[in-house]
Amino acid sequence: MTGPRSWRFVTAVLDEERLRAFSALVRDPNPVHIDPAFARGLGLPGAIAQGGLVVSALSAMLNADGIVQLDVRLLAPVPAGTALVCQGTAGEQTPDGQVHVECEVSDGADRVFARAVALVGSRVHA
Amino acid sequence: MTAGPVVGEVLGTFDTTIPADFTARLTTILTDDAAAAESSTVLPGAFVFFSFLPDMRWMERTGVAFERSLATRRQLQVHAQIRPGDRLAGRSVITEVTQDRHGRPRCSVTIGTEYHREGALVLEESVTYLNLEGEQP
Repeated sequence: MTGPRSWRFVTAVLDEERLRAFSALVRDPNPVHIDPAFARGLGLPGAIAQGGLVVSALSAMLNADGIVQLDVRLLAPVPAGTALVCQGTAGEQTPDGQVHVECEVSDGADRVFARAVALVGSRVHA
Repeated sequence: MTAGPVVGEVLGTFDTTIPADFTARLTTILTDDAAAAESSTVLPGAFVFFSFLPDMRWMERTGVAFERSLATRRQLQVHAQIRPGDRLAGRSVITEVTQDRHGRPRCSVTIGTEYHREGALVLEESVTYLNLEGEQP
């Protein structure tokens, strides 16, 4: 007997160098991602990962199945030095064969950074 | 007194080509796994409107200081597969503004962006930013 289909994707450790690289790639001008002192001035523990990077990690997990919709709630800042653990579990299937996926992004232990609902299985990706 | 952000206000327009090596560079940031990088197709999540807008003056019109804000929600609706090298045109618009109970300063702003390729809508994106300087909802 098998359970519902599941997905899992673990990123590399998102250190400050990778955060700088992502900011440069998407032209994100916010210093909170690349300047630890600036981030600490806002009460954060240091530089934090870009929301787009978290969403990209979810895309890396799901995109081979053809993402139709992705709704991501970013619940907590991701400190630099974190490896994101993305997990997804298949939910309801639509009449045309697309599948809802409940997703969570965490540090693999007790810190949840984001929750998302995706719809995958797009024909446009065939 | 300066006018606040207005729902429906266009922050900017764009017409640009996704760099050919975008996916490869993004994948290298995400993973050290060479096999994963080889087969990666991670484009949609990396789409954020400021990647496409030609300058940063757009954020001044939202009423939220970008460097003192955090993204709290991102929604994507994918209509067609997008690849590096595609030329995309579109615009970013303020779609929602929330204020504190006193009407100042703004708690959050949501920005919607539509991406078109050869006239056809390929992606809709919505991003909500929480103002760290405002009273929290």
